[in-house]
Amino acid sequence: MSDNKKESCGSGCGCHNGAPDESLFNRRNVLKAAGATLGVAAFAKAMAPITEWKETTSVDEFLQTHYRELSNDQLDEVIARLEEETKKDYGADVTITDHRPQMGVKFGYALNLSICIGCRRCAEACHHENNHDRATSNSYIRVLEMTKGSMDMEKGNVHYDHPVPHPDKFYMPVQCQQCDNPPCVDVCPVEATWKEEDGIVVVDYNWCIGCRYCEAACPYHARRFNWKKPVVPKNEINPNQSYLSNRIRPQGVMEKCTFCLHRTREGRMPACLEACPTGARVFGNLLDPHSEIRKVIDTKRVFVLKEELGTRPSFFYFFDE
Amino acid sequence: MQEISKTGRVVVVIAVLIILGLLTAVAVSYMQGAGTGDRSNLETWTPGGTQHEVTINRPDLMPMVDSGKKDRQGNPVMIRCNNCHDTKEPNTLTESAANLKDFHQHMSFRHNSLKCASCHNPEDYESLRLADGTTVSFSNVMQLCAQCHGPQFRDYNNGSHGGMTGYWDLSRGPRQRNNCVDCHDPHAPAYPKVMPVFPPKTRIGTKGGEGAKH
Ligand code: SF4
Ligand code: SF4
Repeated sequence: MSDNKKESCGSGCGCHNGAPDESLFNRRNVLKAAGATLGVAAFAKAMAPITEWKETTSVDEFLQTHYRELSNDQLDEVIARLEEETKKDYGADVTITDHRPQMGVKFGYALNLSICIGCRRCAEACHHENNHDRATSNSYIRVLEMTKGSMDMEKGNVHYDHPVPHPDKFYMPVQCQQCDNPPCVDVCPVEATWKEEDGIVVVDYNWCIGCRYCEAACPYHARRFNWKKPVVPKNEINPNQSYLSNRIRPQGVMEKCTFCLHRTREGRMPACLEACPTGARVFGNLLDPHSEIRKVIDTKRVFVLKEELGTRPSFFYFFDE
Repeated sequence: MQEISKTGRVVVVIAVLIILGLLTAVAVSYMQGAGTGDRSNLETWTPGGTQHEVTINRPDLMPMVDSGKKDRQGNPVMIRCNNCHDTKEPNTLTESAANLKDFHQHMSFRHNSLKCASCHNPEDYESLRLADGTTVSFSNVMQLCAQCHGPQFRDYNNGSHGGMTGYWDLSRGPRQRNNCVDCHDPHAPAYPKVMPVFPPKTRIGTKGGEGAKH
């Protein structure tokens, strides 16, 4: 906890946190301007050593604008290009959709710590659902083995390897808490990550510059960095993808749990909930007073992790009484 | 003099080009207007309307007991309860397999001090019986469990006990829910220990077992 105070980039630039379209001299405009002046290809070449420009980056991709500034036509083009690239790089036919949030929906998640047995099936389901790199066994969920009586998640152990549940332990899966006051969003110098109308904090993987400030700022260790280009066998790729969630991420960008928005914005349950054999997980719309998640919040003694930091998570934990 | 003005002209031309470029960018961004960031036309979620069904798994197999014998393929020979219990006088106080002469011997019961007849109906062993004498079918076993496990039944009804799949939003699709005996063996209901799956990989430079480090 000590090393995870809310951070700023420290450059005194007054990191902005307004809407992405507020700033005029953002990356897109500067690039466009320079491009118009010098010719796109020449400019991109000239910038190559000091940007994320790579052999594999197409000019279109390099000049692509922020997700929230793309017109619908532009977005269609971008998605078509991404689908084509997935076909070329992975041999898989995938459908990338732009799932939008709904007004009147704010997602909440709760986890019953009395029921969770620490089997890690949720973490495994996340791995497959979200097209994670196979080599690193990446998952947005870490299941912590905790000593009964302690609530300090920093003392949890993820490397347990014995039949579960151990009688002296309890198990606490931790993933992005979709904070209402997300420090990860505040520190992003290019506004590549933001909170959507339904509470989900998302990343535009094509806008992220990979500086990893957000990873350092997140008190829940919820963000993951793509050190390498993800390797996923063709026949294991989940073809139902969304622009802001489980499409295959490029190398060098940040990613995180999106409450499976490609499923949940279609009304379905997140993959980790469906995989849970014990029913420890409760998901739903916090704005619907009749939802299961609201019943949990209204009738159980729920708590949030690291409440003292003021992040205001949308993820709740509780014990049966 | 001539030299200087030449350099000057180049500088001016470059400056003009850059300014033009920036102006183009501004114009382009105005012309594009609202991108996906304009969420004024988002759909609004409405809870009403027709709701899809919540289906609860029901055990629908005919209840049978292992005879202890094997058939020619090596599969256990299973016998319907009423084959014997139709005519046998039930001993309602039986609570362990050791007291039984036929069959059942392989079974162990770890469900408090319940007697067989606490749940099985001695008048018809192919059904169950509630504490008040009401007969219930095996597929409605949840009703029986709920007699003693009120808090769990309440939580089940509130959606916070028992696994499920399907839709959180029932206006868009159905949901499938587990039944008590999908997870709990009624004769030994404590949830069994399992080996955890999917061990996290240790990153180079970190020590396994050290705890959660990012
Ligand atoms: S838990 Fe999620 S929303 Fe909160 S700071 Fe971490 S990444 Fe951001
Ligand atoms: S799948 Fe369910 S029981 Fe298993 S670790 Fe995850 S939350 Fe706990």
